[in-house]
Amino acid sequence: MNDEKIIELYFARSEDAITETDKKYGGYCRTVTYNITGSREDSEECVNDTYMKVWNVIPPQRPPKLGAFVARIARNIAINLKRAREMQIRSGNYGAVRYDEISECLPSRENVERTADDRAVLGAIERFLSTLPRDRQIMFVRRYWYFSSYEDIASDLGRTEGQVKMTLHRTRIKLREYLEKEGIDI
Amino acid sequence: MTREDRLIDILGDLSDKYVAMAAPRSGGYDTDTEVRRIVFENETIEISEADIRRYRVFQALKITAAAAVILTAAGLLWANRDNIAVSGGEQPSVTTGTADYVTPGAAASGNAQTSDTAPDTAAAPDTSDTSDSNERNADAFNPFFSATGTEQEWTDVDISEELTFTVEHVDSELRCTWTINEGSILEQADIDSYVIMYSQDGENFSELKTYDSDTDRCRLGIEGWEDFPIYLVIQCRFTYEDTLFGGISEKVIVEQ
Repeated sequence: MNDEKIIELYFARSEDAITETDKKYGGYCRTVTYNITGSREDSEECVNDTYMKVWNVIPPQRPPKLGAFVARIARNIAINLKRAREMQIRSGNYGAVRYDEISECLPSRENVERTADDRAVLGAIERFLSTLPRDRQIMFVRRYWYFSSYEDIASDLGRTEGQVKMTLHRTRIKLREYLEKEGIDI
Repeated sequence: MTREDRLIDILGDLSDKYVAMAAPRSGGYDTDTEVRRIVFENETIEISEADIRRYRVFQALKITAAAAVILTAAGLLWANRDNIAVSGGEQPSVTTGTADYVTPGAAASGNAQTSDTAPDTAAAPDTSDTSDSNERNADAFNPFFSATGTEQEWTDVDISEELTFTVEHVDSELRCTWTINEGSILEQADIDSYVIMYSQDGENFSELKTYDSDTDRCRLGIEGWEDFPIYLVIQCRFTYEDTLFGGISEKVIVEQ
């Protein structure tokens, strides 16, 4: 089923929308979440949460690329889950203190500034990516958006792991130089 | 929030264009990923008797041509066998000392040399420690196309951006120096050794001498050498993130 029809199912509030999304993008989402969590159980949990989130945001949203939209939600949910797991470990180490509670005290102004800064950084990264050949773009996004292993990237692109490592190393250096030239400090 | 977390979040908003473009083809553990099936239509091809005859004639011609090429090559090799032996004797020899002096000629110590063509290496006497590399030199290989060494497997990479290799032609010697560029991956890598390699056609390189990781220069003695140009590269063998690399520098051409 094509994306438009799946989105129409969401708009019609048909539960088939989730079934069809899972058929078409289930494997894709599991790849993304598994790369991040490294656990099948957590990955499944993230994928289920993803469908729930997609169900809640379509409508009103009508994503132009459903696959990327679903994968992005899956990625965010997986990252949040991983951070929550790490937070639990840290909390265990420091007694009952929860640092995420105190972080709520940060002034909202900073958040606004940070959001603006983040957009500037993202804009610079996208401009940098646009200067790269397609295979380097793919390598970069596979590694830092999808969290794919060197092995998986190499296998998909028909390269050796060594070539992928070396290319990404050079790309990181060029990115750093580019961001410095743009006056961006992370 | 750490810088790492912040970057992860920032990259999370990367445009759909890149996310869709780089979607993994494999990975994970799910087998439900959509599979696009390619539909082939059957096509009937009729092979006539004439086609079969043409095919047989063509095959016969191919075999004849291949045999002719092999016989010609063998004849040329046989006719020039003396020259070939002399040519082998003119390979650069290697010597080392505290100044890491290298002289063309000794790398081919296993090859026949004639007294009237062998370069005078008196100014740069051979040392016994060249024997190991000389054994490896027997297997000349092209560093630009071969990813396999004689002793260990490594990934072949171009390190012309990582390392500067220069050769200065002074009188009867070549002074080679190599420097790791600032910000190079080699600064973070575990360097095993450097190998000076030379070629006379710019393609088939032979190892001359292996140097320790803390060496940054050597000299090649070329007194009496007449076959120019000489092509030189340096191979840096290093380990980065548990992968062994054979990094090849930019090719330097030495004219007379």
